[in-house]
Amino acid sequence: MFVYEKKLQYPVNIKNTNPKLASLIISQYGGPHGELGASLRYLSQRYSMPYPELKGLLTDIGVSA
Amino acid sequence: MQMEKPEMNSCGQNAGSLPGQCAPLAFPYVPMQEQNPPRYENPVALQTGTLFPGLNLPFKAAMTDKLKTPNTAMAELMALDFAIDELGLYLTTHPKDQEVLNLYWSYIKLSQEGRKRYQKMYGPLLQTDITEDDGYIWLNDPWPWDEGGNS
Repeated sequence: MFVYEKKLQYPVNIKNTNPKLASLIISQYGGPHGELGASLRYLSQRYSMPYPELKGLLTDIGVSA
Repeated sequence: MQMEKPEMNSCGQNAGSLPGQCAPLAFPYVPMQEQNPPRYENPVALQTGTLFPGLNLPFKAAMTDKLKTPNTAMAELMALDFAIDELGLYLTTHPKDQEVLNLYWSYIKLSQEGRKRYQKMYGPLLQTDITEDDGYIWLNDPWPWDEGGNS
């Protein structure tokens, strides 16, 4: 379903490592209330969206989230 | 499961609760962005987090101060691709804006050329990019999100 590129959208520049913060961020991404779950909800809702622009918008947001 | 009953009227009838405090009630609304709005230069857009000055709201100021992108072929492609992402989102809700559509296509052409130059320096961007002489270098470390893979 997805094509990915071996490239970041924005440069990463970590000056100080912080495992506790890293754990918090990764759970915001993939955890039970994370971005990954939200992205799948957008992609699920787009099927019942009647307006073409907003159907496209939900798909855009779900894919980039 | 027993839901905890919220305490009534602790903020008064004209206010609602935010985490830790009360704030005035309001009707939220999101106005539609107008056709062909002004744009930042692409590297500035990448640093700012939006292509459009009209969407550069005050809360983004602190972020822009701290983040500086390096002056590399990679950063150039990132800036171009970010502008393409932003224009793509804009076009999804403004599909009849011919001027922006032309710009979108011209950026896509630029990024296709930029990808070729980038790949000569840094290696394949897609798993399906052919690298006949070098073998299957797709697996080579570092990946862009690893240490040292981002310069």
